[in-house]
Amino acid sequence: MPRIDPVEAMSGLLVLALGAFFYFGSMGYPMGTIGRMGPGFVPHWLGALSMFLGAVILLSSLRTNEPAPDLYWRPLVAVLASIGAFALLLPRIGLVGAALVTAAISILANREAGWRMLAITSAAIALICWVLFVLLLRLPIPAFWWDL
Amino acid sequence: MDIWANIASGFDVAFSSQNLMYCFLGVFLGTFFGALPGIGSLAAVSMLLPITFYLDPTTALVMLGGVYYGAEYGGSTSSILLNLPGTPSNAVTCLDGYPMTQQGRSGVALFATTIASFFGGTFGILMLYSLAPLIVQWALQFGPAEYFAIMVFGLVAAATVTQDAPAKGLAMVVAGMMLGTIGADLNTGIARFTFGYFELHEGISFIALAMGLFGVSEVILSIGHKIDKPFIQAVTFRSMIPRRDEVRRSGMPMLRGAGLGAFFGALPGTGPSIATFIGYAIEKRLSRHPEEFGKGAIEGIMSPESANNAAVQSAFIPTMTLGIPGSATMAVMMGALLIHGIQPGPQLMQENPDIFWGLAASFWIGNVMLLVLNIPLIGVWVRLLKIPYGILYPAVLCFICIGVYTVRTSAFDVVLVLLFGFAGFVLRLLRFELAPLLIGFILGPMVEENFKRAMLIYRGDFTEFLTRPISGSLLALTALLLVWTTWVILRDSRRKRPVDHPMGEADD
Repeated sequence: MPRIDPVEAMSGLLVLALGAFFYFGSMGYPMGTIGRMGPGFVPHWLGALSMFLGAVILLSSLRTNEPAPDLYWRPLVAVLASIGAFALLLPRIGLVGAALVTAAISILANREAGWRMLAITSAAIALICWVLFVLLLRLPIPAFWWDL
Repeated sequence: MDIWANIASGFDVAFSSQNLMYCFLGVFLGTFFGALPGIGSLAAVSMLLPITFYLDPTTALVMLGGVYYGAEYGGSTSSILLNLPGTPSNAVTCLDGYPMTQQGRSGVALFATTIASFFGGTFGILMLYSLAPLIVQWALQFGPAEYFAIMVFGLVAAATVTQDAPAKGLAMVVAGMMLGTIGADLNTGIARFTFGYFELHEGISFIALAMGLFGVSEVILSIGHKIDKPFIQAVTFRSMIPRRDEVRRSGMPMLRGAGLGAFFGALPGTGPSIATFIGYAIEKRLSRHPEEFGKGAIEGIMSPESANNAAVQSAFIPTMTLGIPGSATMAVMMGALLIHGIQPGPQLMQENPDIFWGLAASFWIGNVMLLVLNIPLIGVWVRLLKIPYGILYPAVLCFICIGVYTVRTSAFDVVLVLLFGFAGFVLRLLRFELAPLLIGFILGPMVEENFKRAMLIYRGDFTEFLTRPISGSLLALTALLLVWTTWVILRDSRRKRPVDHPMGEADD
């Protein structure tokens, strides 16, 4: 009984699923002919190719075996949440507020950071962003909610 | 066309006070960002792209070019001092650069890589000077079949050369190409895979994809590993003087590295990283003392650094002559040109020769600036590395968000960064290489367009691709590469473990 490498098996399934998505998803668009291809043609066959590669990777998972990698839940959630906060806040309260909240949430990823470090660092970063991008570089970003 | 007159006029453009100033600004900021671990040239160029919107196109490219090769110069600093590659293409430099630091010889390593970088960069620029005009003459006769074949060859090479798992590399290329089909179809205008989001009509923002896949996933994994306060030794001028035998041993590796780098850089798809891996592997094989590699052999830093910088310069060859970006960072630069309404390709060299020659001249001036700047400033970059990562990464995340938002003034793109950050994290845990995905995404739409156009011209007869000499031989090479790769996979499957990657595990 061959052992199955979880990393390779997951990789194969992921590639297979992605291929299937484009293979079947493109069927809703006109395919055209080989001489006059429609919008569905190229994604359809790329999807087929991807499913084939997914199957190859899945097969190779039967022979290798490596330990499953660690997951980094805390940094993962905190970093993604901080980016989401930026997308949400920038159009509503402007750059300075968004940068402050983004920096603060992302610092939560660091287990060793205390509250004082969080407050000082995120305030400093918000200030740097404002001075650098709005005052010096004059990028067209609203700095505060009254600039919106 | 007199090449000397062109070179002279190029230096005229590059020596204008405005271009000199932005060239300096570019190399300075590039070295700064490159020296910070985790921010590569791609992130540095993307973050600084919005600044150049208000400059004229030549100046914008002069500055972004400076950021690009400046970051590659600076990237070796953190490889050598911290064992953390500043940019992905400096990863190989860790192997022998960090042991040199452990032996208290970081000064020599930093000095030597600066020289190697300058040498490689100069070599790459000479290639750019001599090859670009020839390729342009040739490229004017290229049809869609030739463009298609060049790009397919580049994509397959990017996925298979030096990869541990070629099937996974190819899967990433195809995934990138599939993501590239998202958006309005060029011929019919039909929206593909937009899920009703109007923002996706123009396709996924390349910068959002790159920042999410590389920048964000890198930050997540780095926090996950550990946040250390690095110990960094002081670097004095005296400590930079290499031993005599090291000078002697450096020449040939530097030359071989430059040649390799110029070759792989000029191929669309394969970038500096591949050149550095191969350069290292070749030096190890050629050396009479292969056991010294990994323990501070100077050849092990000279060849990769020279290759890296030669590849950075020669990556401009396909970009400027064919309009095919040679690497992911080049794609951002090409985006910058397109924003200014300039379409790179053979026509550009004919109609706006001053842009090309001015750029090429500014690259060399920038390399001289880096040489002059870096040796006295090494101490400053070293101090920069003392900033703890816990303070650095929240700022990096903010800069990424601001950069992505500004390019299209779109909060939607920031949400895409979030999604691709998650995707990049998962893919890296599953040990996928992400660079092929990005290359596939960039070249995918161009492959599709040229494929469709060629098939329209040849009325659906695929044999035309094979009978035309240039496209036929490139596709034959591609097939050969695939056969060879399959053979390697089958050979390795009989052994227990896959062959050692030249990089091994970057253990810390």
